[in-house]
Amino acid sequence: MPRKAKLSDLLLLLKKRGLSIEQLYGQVEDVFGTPLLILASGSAPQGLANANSDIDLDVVVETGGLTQLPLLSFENGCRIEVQYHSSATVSDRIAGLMDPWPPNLRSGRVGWLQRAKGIHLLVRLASAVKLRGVPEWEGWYEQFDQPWVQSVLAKWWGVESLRYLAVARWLNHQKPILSGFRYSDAVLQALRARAAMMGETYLPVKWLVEQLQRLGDAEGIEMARHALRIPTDRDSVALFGDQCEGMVNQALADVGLPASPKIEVWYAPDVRIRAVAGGILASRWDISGVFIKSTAEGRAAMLSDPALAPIYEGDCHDDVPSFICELVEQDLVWIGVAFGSGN
Amino acid sequence: MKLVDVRRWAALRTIGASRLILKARGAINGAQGALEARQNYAAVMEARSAILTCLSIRSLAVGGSFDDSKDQLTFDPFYGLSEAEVQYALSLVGSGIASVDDSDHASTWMETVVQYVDDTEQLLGFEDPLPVIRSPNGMFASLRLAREWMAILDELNLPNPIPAEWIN
Repeated sequence: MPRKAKLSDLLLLLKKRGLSIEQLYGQVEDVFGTPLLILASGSAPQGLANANSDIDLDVVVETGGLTQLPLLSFENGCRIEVQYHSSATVSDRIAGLMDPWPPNLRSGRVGWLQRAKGIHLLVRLASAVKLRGVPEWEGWYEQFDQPWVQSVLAKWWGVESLRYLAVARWLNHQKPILSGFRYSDAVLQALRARAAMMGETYLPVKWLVEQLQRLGDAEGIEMARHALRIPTDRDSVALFGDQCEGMVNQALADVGLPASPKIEVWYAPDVRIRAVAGGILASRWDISGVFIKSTAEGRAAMLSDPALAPIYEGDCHDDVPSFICELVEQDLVWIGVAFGSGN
Repeated sequence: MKLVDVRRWAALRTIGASRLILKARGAINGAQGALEARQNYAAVMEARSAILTCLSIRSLAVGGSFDDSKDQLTFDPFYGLSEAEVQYALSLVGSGIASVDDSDHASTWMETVVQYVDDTEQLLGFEDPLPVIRSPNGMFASLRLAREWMAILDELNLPNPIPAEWIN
């Protein structure tokens, strides 16, 4: 079951800051309509807050079209951040998380962004403590005490880990230091997935080791410690990469991702492709780019309609064509991971 | 001051400043709070994030990419920087990890990291200190700056550094 946030941890923090719960409620405005649900989220009800932490509130209201810009206030020098959500958006985004993930082929960055918004919301809500609500929304909120939350979060971080791993492999020869960081990130994402399976729902990467400590996961802590020691010379990065691959597999063992992930390469947003004599000019905002002398096959792939299909898809261990490596090195692509069959 | 590449100069000032305000300063604030509470791993993670952000800001002047979105995994914060500059920053990350079990050494290390962030802000060339978004007036001061920048960025056909989730 997901770990429960504690009202007592929030109250303790409020006491330390010389604030009452009524003062906290006083930060919630009714300009967007009567609050349907008020939650305290973030590090405070997780018992992780420190002197520099702010206090986060999430408020569900009926009004639609709200900005995601948080509203800030200061009480006794304490920073309080209130995030308003429209009830329709909250319902839709959480319901959308019941769609399967990892995605089928070709959902691309648009599908990723949509899911990411849902995950971001789920983390905030599931790791929060309920303060007040109308009965209908208090009932709705009970769903976050169920194991599906762990499974959804673990699969998300598991797929993220595979995305980092793909990039780390492809950068290994040309950019070993960056590759080392991506290998490290892949392990940290996999450990987030593992922590989610063990019940943690509040998963900003900065708190990962502290969370593994409270889970008593000595093996996970050791993996994180190792992954944070990134070597900076080429030969050591290769060995480090192999070790990280092993740690990712170990950390994801119980997450239940399907076998045989496919790696997809899409153009990054705002990339412009021009066919010029002898090859292809790929650029982003026309301020940086790469000229690629291409084969007929590479030329056809690079000039295909990016709205319809990725410019490359293949098994995660396949060697990729050289033009893909050039685009990856120049940061002109977006990397996705998918499973299943294409449309 | 003669400018060779106006678009890149504008990107350094605007995108660089937004990274400093939104990411580096926030991460350093988090690192300092965590260190004080002896949450040493959280401090190291936040400092690592601040240092990588500073590298990415410095890289903007020498060909670095404008898009450091969380999902853009091929983003390279080291792009165009000298090996010495990269090695210095990485040694700061490494020192933090090495001192994670040694709180006395960790305080000295944190001072060095804060100095590195301050030095990075200096490189942006603003006369006045940039707003601190976590301060009482910081959010509105930052939004005022962003409004000025958006007009310039739009005119130069450059991306908007305001977080997409604040707009959508």
